[in-house]
Amino acid sequence: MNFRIKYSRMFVTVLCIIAVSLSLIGCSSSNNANKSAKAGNLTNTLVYAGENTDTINPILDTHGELSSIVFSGLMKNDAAGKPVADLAESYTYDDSSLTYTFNLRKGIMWHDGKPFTAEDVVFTYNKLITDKTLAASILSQYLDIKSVQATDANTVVIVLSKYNAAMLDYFTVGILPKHLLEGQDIATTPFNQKPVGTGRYKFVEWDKAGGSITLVKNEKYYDKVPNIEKIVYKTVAVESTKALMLESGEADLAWLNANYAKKFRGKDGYKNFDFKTADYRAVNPDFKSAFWSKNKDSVGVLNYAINKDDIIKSVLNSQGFSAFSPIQLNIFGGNKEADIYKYDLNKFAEEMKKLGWSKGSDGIYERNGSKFHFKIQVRDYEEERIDIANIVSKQLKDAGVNMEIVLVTKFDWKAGYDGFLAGYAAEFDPDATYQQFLSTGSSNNMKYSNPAVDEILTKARHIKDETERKNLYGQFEVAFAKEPASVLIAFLDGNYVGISGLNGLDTKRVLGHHAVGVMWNIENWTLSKK
Amino acid sequence: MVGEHREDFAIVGANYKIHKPEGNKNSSWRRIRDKPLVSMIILAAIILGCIFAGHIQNHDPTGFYLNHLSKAPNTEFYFGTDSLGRDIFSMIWYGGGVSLIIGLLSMVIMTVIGVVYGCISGNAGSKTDAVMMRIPELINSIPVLLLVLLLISILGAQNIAKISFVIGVTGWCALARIVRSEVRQIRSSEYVLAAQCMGGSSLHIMRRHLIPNFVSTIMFVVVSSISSSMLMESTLSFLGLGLPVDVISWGSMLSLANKALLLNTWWVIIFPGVFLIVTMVCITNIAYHFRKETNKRESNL
Repeated sequence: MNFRIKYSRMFVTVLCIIAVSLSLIGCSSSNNANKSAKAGNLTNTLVYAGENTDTINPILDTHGELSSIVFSGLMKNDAAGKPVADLAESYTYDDSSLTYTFNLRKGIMWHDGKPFTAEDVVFTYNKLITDKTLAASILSQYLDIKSVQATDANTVVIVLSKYNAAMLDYFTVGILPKHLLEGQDIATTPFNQKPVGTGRYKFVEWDKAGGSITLVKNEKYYDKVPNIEKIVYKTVAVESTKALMLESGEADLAWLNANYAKKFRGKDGYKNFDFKTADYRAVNPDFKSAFWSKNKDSVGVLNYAINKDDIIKSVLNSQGFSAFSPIQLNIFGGNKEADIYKYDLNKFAEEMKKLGWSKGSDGIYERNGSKFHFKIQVRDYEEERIDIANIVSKQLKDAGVNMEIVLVTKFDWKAGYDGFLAGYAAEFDPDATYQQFLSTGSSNNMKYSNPAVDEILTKARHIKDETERKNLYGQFEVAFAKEPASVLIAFLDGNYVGISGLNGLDTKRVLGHHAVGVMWNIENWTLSKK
Repeated sequence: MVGEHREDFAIVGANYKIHKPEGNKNSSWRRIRDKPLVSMIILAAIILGCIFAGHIQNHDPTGFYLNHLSKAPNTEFYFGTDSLGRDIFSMIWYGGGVSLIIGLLSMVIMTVIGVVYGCISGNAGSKTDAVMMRIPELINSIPVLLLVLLLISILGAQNIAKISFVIGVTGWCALARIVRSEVRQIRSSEYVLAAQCMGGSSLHIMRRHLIPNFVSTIMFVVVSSISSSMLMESTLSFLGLGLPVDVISWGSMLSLANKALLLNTWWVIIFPGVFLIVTMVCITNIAYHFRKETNKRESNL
């Protein structure tokens, strides 16, 4: 008897546990109503679940959404990504003297009420071209500027030392206020956490503990004042958390990975915004590491062993396509001749043999007594990158290459990893590759060095003729493919999910890395929450 | 001899009864019946399954079946597949081994530290004992998870041995206290005093006199520490602080739960969860049996 009672009691307990865990699955959406009621008057407040950020500064923060709406530049990119005048009312370019003359709009105010003048522009560009202590990934963009001068309060004259085809693009950089930043170290100034700009939204406060940044619309904006009153930017980054926040009504807009975005398709109360991006994922070797400095010749060959289409089908849920060139989607890129690697394990084995690798007893290739084993770091909250890395690792292992994955919370460049799972995008001018892949590029942190690439990229940025430029970038793609900086995997779409009351997002724009740039037309967005 | 003499005595009387001692016939059944049989069978099945995982699994547990993403349980993938096409059924057997090894290894570490520490403390003078007993209390006053996280961050990259070490090193306090109080009871017994007088080393006394006497008392704690260690491993893996991504354990499988909740793939959570819970209930049940046995006995002497 005792025996039977004991077991039936145990059985009931187990059942209860299962029942509770099952019921947890169902209840995540039921507390929707509570949350929004509690939050108070948020009817015209957009809560955006975004990436982690610690700096809002257009010079340092190259792929942050916020610096683009707090600050504004001489130029801005329109829907097609072409530069058009912004803070400048108009500009002229004199080819013989390589001189840009910008006529600034009058009566523009900084968010703190001080007037915006040509001196601010001069200050910002001088920082970029003369400050030797400044370390920023965009510095390579401004190498060709010889001088920046304000001829009067509303006119700025910028003289180049050499023609630069991408210069107008680079004039989109946000202008910093001279009166707040003069004499300060840009990298460490507290200004980076309480920015003052001229853009469409004004910074209000940064709640570091709660991870949210509050902005209100700039009523005195010199162009169309936005409709949405307030933006609360939550620094979330973890993909599953972003999806959960959307589902529970805690967020109104977020960039999700393809699989989570799929869940919201056709769901009542939600809307999917599918942007194209120039954002690609790649296994990026660190050429400073001991392993890759010895085995620099064996990066490209890995492409043969990776079935990229399978990865796109699974991780990206077919929201993307296989990558062969870093500027594949650019109007100047996409040279099919650079697509030299097809998934082919026999070819892989053949090429590895040519490179002098032979399989050891454990099935892993070795050369000169050392194994083909390298370690890459992946940030633990980027699920889509972890998934890509996992599958690539497995495919490489089956082919005889050991790629070890280490999950880190923050990238550690000094811990001796042999690389990382990278992402990068050249969404505007293809000259973005200059800073990334030139041996001396300001963003070339992995120290990729390829003389052929150096030569082509330097030439291509100084040429005016568009067909010739396209030709050169085609050559770059081929040279890159032969000796790549990274094993390119896939370009991904930018899948944004918002609540159904959010309107005005324009998917014409090609977005950048981390699908940044979604707020390019935020002044036209409207929000109606029920 | 007895048999021969029996014939000399005839039983007489109107309605005599042959005395049959009760229960003798079924004594082996009874011995088994007292044991937590169901738990033992289930646990044995799970352990055997994990040991022979290679023969049970019908897919590569580390493989990604990219043409079968998020498939519900079916005849090819018995427990379904996750969002990257990994076969849950194969992973469970393969990962169970890792979880069980961690459980056992942590248990060994905990027991060794706890028993040695408890014996030393129990045998020591009252001042040393007081100091020594404050240490586990101090450790216990810090939340275990915090302590584990601290050790993990010091040790760096994780593997099975390291994670077992961390769990073991943080979990021995309760055991040490029990051992110590048992030892304090036994240590003034005559046979221990006698051994001491004959010059037996404290190690000898511990091995020959102390441990055999409290082994049944600590059995409950020891056995249930296996399941608590497994649970700790799952917690750590769930938090992303456990084993590296490519090592499959029940914990690391459960760490996919968040994703599975979002993608409505219940089988990814339920199966490893059920396996973990069932294993833990079985182990706890067996541990309870040991406790009952100890409590039944009047004395250990």
